[in-house]
Amino acid sequence: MTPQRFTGPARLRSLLNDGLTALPLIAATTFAGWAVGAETGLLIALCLGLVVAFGLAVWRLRRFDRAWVIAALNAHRADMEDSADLLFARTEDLNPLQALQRQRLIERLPSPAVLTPPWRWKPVGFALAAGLAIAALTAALVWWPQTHPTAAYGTTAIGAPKLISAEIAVTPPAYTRQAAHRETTLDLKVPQNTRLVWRLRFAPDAANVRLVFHDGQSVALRRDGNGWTAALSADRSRLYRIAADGLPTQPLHRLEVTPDSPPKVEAVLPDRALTLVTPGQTQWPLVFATSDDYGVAPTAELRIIQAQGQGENITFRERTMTLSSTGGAADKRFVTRIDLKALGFAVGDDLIVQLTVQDNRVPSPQEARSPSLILRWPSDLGAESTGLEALARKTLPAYFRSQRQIIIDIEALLKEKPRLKPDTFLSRSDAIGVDQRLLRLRYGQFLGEEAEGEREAPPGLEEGHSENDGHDHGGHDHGGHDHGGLAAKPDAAPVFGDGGNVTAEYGHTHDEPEAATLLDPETRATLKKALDEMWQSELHLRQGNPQTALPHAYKALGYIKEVQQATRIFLSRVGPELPPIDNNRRMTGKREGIAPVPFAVTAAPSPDAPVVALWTALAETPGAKNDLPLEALDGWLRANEGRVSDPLSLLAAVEAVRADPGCASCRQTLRGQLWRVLTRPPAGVAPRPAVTASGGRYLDALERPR
Amino acid sequence: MTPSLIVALMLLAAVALSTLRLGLWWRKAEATERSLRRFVTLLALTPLSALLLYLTLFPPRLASAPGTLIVATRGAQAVDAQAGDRVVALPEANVAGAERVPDLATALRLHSEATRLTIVGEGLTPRDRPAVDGRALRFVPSPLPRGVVRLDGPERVAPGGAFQVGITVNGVKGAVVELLDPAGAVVDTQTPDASGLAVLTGTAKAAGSVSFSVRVREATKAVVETAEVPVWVDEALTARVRVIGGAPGPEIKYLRRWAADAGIDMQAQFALGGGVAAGDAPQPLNAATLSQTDLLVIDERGWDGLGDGGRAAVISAVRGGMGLLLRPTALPSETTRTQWAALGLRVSGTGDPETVTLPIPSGSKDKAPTVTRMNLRLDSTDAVPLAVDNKAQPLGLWRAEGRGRVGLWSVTDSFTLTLSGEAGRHQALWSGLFSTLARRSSAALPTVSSARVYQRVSLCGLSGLSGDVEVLDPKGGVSHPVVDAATGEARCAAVWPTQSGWHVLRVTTADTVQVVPFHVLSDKALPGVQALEAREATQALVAEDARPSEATGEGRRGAAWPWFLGWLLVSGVLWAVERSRRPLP
Repeated sequence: MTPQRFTGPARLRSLLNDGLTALPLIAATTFAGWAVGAETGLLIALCLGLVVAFGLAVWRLRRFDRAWVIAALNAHRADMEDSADLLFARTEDLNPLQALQRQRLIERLPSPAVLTPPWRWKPVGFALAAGLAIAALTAALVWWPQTHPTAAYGTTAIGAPKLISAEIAVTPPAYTRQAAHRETTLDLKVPQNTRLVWRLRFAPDAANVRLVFHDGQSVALRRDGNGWTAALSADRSRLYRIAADGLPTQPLHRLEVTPDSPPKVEAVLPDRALTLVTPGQTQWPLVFATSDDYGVAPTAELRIIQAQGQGENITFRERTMTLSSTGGAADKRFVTRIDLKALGFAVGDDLIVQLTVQDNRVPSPQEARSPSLILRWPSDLGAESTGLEALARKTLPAYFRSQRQIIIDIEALLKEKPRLKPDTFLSRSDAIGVDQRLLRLRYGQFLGEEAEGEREAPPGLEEGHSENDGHDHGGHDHGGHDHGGLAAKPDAAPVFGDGGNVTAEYGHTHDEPEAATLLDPETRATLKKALDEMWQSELHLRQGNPQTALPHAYKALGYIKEVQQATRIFLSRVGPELPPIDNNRRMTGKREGIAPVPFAVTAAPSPDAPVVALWTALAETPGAKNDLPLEALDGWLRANEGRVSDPLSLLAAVEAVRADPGCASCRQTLRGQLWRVLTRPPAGVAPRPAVTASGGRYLDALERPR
Repeated sequence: MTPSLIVALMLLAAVALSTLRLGLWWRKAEATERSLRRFVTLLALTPLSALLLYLTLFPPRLASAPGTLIVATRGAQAVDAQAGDRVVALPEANVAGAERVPDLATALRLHSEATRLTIVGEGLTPRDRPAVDGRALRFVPSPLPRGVVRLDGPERVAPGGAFQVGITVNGVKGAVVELLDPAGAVVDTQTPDASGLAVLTGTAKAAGSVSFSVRVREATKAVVETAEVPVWVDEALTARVRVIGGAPGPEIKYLRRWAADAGIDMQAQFALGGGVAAGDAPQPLNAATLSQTDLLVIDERGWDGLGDGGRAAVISAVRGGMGLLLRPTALPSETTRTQWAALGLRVSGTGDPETVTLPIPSGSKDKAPTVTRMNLRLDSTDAVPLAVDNKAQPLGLWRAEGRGRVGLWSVTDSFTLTLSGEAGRHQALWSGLFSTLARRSSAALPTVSSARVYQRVSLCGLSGLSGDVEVLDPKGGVSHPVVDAATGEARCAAVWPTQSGWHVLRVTTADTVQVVPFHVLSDKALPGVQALEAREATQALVAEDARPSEATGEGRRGAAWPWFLGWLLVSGVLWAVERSRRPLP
């Protein structure tokens, strides 16, 4: 016999009773939690309620134990004869009399339902009432302010109007792809041309409500139901405040407008402005990357200009292509390949392309152009020359080739010598000697030497004169002054030295060798040495001794090389070497009328005097006067708004100080804003403190003779 | 005449009177009443009673126990007190179980038996330092707080000029210090060296007070401390500068442009030879005109053209305080070099132009500007560089010559800085040169010691009468410190400011008004700086020759009650004996 037989049903009934009682209370708590803390509150309250209720119920179950069963049986049933405890005693411990009594009791044992507690409806009713009360109280506490504005309106109708709600409907232009939304703050940052609709409510209602902008403009709001409304298109950044009759001065609010920036375009391929055609190229790939803050138009125009021809005879052909893009709205790539064959791109042509992209601004899109890209097919891949330097480099080797050619000829002749007849050898040596002479004469022109002798016959025909030529070199003793520059150049191509020949041809230059050309003395000396060596080389060649001539030819080549290096300082950039001053003639001229010209320097006016004045006035200097020149700053700001990086902040700081001149933190903020604007004046001289008595003695002691 | 002596004399008189009276009574009394035993008892007990009364009023001093007085100052941690030590806590300290005293002087009066002093914590505040008065001192400093422990702002800044702020940071690993301008923008960032020192550079704009701030960040970018750096920008000095040259040139042209913009009164003249001059209207060069000149800028040709008399006048003017800037544009002649060497600046070298690069702040991405200097070896035993290039080679030197200064400047084309968009650099360079060399101001301004709220600020060199000295505080209050006659020539006064912020010391004399602004720190500002200052000042007190500890005689007096009981007993016996003298009725 176990007591559980009786406690089980009793416990179940008690649990159900308690559960029924707790249910309304848990529900009410959960509602209160939801009202205060939304879903989180709901969950917390629910869990808390369940745990507490369960805990209490379990605690209450503890009373249904063995003692309770015995007491209840004894109390409930007289026929238990107060011996119910025998039922649950151990059989072994009982004496026969007790066992007999126990047997009798078991026979009379009632059903366990006798001990089950009854349903208790009264606590449930109380709990229901309490739950409802809690719910009502919570609802009243939480939603009272929202649901009773009219009551507040009624009670405070006599006071000054107060802004109780403000809402701005922000509708950015459609092309920005930004969603329209509502703002409850009065400080806004919106794209340009955004449509703004203010909706303000006052309690008690105000009259003559308007938005006053910092530049003096004012927009009146019109009544709309129980609120006030106004619409405006944001075109520039401004500060504004809400004003109404009887409304205390409101703080300033920022309306910051971000203008649409033009699109950016850059060439990805090719990565340089000038590209040369590679052999066999038939296509020209182009890739442009574009970006914009809101969006790039899906198509762009590619302008292609083809320049054909050479010299002055160049024709241009222009055509346009429309490219379509790939990529997202704000970042797009334009890719194309230009078919060079289809364009008729040929040797010597230039192809210039430029991409024009537009953004999606409405009404007028903004436009940006890429840098021009050039594809060039050089007319002669070797003959690209663009300046005097290249020209000089190009032309001068013609001479060097000649001297080198002479050397090569000599060496070839020496190699062939064993196989040649002496006559042939001599005549070939002489022919080389003639070449050497021509070359010598050409170089001689640079030194202002007159051409030697008469008009030269073609090389190889004047062997008889060859000996004389050498003697001619020292003294020019020829009758006709034939400055045969041209004659000295059988290969009369337009080469270096033509300019000198013009003088030689049309002028009559009896120059001294030293002053004849633009060569500096050192170069001239080197050239002279080269000529001497050439002369020696020629001499030996003419005598049929190329073996002896060869070292001289080499030396001449070496000197000419030096001259080539020296041509880099051909026109000195350093300045003239002035002739020495003749001290006897110095300061002997007339000096009347030479008066010192005063060169007055006036200080540049400071660009921001009002800023400095306000900066100084804002300093918390004890004993300084305290009026702030804010109006002067307003004027300055109107004139210099472009110079200020953030004029709205400065304006706001100015307005804050104007509203409350005593506010220390506002003054500090304004000073900080002014500091950004202040230009750094030219650094002046910092005063040194006066010398102290001991310092003076020290300095004087240093000066005593040591 | 101490109170104890007066009391003793009075008691002595009373004893004498009482003995006299007793003697008289003995003679007059009848034989039956005479009792020798009683007489002797009375005669003996009266002086004993007087002695005991004296000891009750002035108990004898205790034998002096030479314990140590441990003084806890701000930041004191657990105090390690031995037996016999007394621990007192100054108001700044927060030590449990210590006796709280308002200041050190009070503590020393209370515990005058203490012969040794041990200071624990940050150190003594200025309030307590004089109280030490040469006593033997032991100082157990607490560790310095983390953050800024030294902050040295600039003393004088001209508008547009650069200034340096020295800062020492303690205990921050991987610290970065930043200088923030009044708008809150970072203008300079430096990494402190191993000793925690960093120098930040900022630029002043307009005259007046301006508040920069330094910010210390640790390696994780978290801000450790932000401290205000108040800077006072003086009005620019209208220096009177004379330029004498052999020929006008771009260097002088751009120098004049800067001088005009910076408010410098510059007079330039060039003797072109043969009586032809260029520049401003020529002025005679003599002692009178030179005494009105703050700085003379002269090139080697101008120097040659001065003549012996002119050179002597210039040198004597320099000794009198004028600045002289020698600006060779070519290698000076042998004679000129000898004359310059006599001024302490020896010049040798070829004089060929060479390009030098000016230093730029480390981490700057800009290209360092270059100028041309003459290849001159500047040599002087006692000269200081005027400016240095990026290899720390001097571009010029200056030295003191009498009361004035002589400088030598080897850069010949600083104007190219202006042409290459570095006008600020050009201005800063010349501003530095001129500020270094120009004549000192003639009127000595009063000096103000570093100031903190509720601490003594001494103002010295007050030239006016005491009634004309005013200190204006930020709230508009005016105080009139009185010059202490005992300070003699220094003419010092003191104030105890009660507000933080910019104060102005205004000294009005018959013909001038001197205005010296000074900034007063709040008592909470820069705790690390305060700690280091207290520590160093206290350590200086330790280092000074301490007075040998002497046993001070003025020990504490013992308790009076045993003497009082004794006196009461004796008096009672006296009373009883006296009473029994008379016959009972």
